[in-house]
Amino acid sequence: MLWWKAWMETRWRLLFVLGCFALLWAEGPLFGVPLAKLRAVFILQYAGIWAFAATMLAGAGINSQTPFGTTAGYHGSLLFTLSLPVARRRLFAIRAAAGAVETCALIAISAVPLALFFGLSGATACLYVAGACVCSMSAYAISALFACVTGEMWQLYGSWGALAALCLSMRYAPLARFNPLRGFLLSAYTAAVHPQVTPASMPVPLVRETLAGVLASVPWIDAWIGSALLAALCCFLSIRILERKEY
Amino acid sequence: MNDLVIRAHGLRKNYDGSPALRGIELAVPRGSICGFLGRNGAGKTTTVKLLLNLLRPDAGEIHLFGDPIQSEAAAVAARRRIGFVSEEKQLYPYMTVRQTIRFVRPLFPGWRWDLETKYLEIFQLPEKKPVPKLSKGMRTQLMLLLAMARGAELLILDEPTDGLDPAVTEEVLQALAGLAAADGVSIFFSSHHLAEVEQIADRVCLIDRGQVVIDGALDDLKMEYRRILLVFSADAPAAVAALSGVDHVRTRGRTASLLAHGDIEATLDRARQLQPESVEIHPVTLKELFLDYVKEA
Amino acid sequence: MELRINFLSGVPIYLQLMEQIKHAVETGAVRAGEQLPAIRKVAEDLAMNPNTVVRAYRELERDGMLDLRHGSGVYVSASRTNAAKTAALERAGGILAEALDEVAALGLTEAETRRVFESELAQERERARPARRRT
Repeated sequence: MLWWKAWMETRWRLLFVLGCFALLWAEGPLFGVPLAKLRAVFILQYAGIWAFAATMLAGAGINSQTPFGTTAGYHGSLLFTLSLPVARRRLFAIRAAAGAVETCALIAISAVPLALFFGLSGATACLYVAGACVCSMSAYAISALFACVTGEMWQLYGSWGALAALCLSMRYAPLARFNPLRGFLLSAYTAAVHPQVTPASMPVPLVRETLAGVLASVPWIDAWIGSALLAALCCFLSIRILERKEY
Repeated sequence: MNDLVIRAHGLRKNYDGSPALRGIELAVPRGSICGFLGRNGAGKTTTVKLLLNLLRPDAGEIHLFGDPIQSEAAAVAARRRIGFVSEEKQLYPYMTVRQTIRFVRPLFPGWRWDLETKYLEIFQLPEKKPVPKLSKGMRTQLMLLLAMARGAELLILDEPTDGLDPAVTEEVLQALAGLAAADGVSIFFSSHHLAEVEQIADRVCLIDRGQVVIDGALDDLKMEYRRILLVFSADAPAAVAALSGVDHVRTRGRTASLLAHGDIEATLDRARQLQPESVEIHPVTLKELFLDYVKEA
Repeated sequence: MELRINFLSGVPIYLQLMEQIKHAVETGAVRAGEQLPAIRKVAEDLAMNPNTVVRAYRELERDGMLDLRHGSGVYVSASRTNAAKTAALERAGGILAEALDEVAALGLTEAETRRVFESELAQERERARPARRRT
């Protein structure tokens, strides 16, 4: 039943993110832009929505609010949940797993129109989905960590802030290779790759440099490793914090 | 005989440096209904949260059903035998009554289907209604149903009748009394409604400023305490305040009101030696005990 | 049997319950051999502590008024002491009637009379207490 509870808590958010993807695909018809040109744009937008989805779907399993609860502080049902004979670790684990599965399913579903319209090969599509899933876990875990520490409102603000910091750090630190967001971009790039889409063709300098840096080293195994490590660290911290937290 | 369902010893808890609990002792025997009283901020909710392992004590230990609850595993095992109703009575906003019951049921192997059916009917809870649309009285009743139907051996209730109309209050008290009578369930509840505590509790524990000031069987308390009213021909003598066997004294002009405890006969004799014009003895209600104890500076 | 408890009166609840049951027996509302409601039912109907009901029933059993048959219920016993008690109550009524006449002659109101009566009753209870404790 805890799985079902996690589903009840995230179903509207899942729908909301699917809606974002739908809007994305509607851009073409809406603004009269040919599909081929959209491929370049999709790189950033897809990566953005995946990261956004990961943060939206994460939760600590203890605090439950309405679909888009943005009130500060904890919801009263928290005491009820904690008074049940379920270990906090288990509450977190089930909620985290449920949200992670939803995130990966979302990524897989969003890949379908890409594969259809841009003619990706099977192998490319799988690599692309796998890469995005692994890298989304780090964004997910960051959001889950915030969920354990703060209420749901600050969970979102905090994790977006953390992701923005990760994003900016991609240009500077020598560890940028391990940066999970690089994995996101690589995944999207693979899908969106088109002979004419090169860093030089990007209109915004920031984007040009970032993309050049991102592409500088392939394969992406470094980003996957960085992602997995970051996700593991955040999960470990989340559970430690939850078990010691006083309500 | 020494079967204590709740045993707490030397509990201390600080919040931001100021002490909320300063050495709480609790001993609730199995099968009793214990009223937990105190002013707002005296430490009642803190104590309840400690019993459920929502907080950890800075010092002291807690035993539930005879076992310590320091580890998470032990606390979870204890909670499987406990039913809890929180002060705010909030449940999940996205579930209906039926869904909430269905959610809680699998967590308790000893679920009592007969009680679930019985109380759904008595409380007349609308099964398909979403929980946020329920009135406070119905939410309380739902939480109580969830607590009772799980086959709990101990109910811990934080202000169970708060904000309820008299009819719902009576239903709630009847349900609690019935459960205690039929299944020997122990009940530990905090309340501001002293009349209800007098009605249903057989033990009372009063805490004030983080410490237990009264703890015992309600019948015993009523037998041990008396109010003695003395009227003097002139202003009440100062010696009244120094009488032994008296817990609190209130003098106003020529009258003195004493809260006597223990050997009342002896105290009466001592009081008579002060030559009052009239001596009256009255039993003491729980409300008077409460006010006398918590108002003293 | 109509039971009414005043939870705030200061009189121990089990004593009130005992008095009410005794009254019901003496006035014939419940007859010898009849079954009284189970402890659980009384506790639930009146929303009171079951241990208190148990105490009241047990004390009445000790006094010979009730018969607690294990497994089958609580019954009013057909005991000789009932008749004696009824007679004693009648006599007490007579004594109090005379005393009330005398008190009325002093010009006290009903409320004043009641207050004096309750105070004397309380003091009488105190005098009887040490003896009670030892039982």
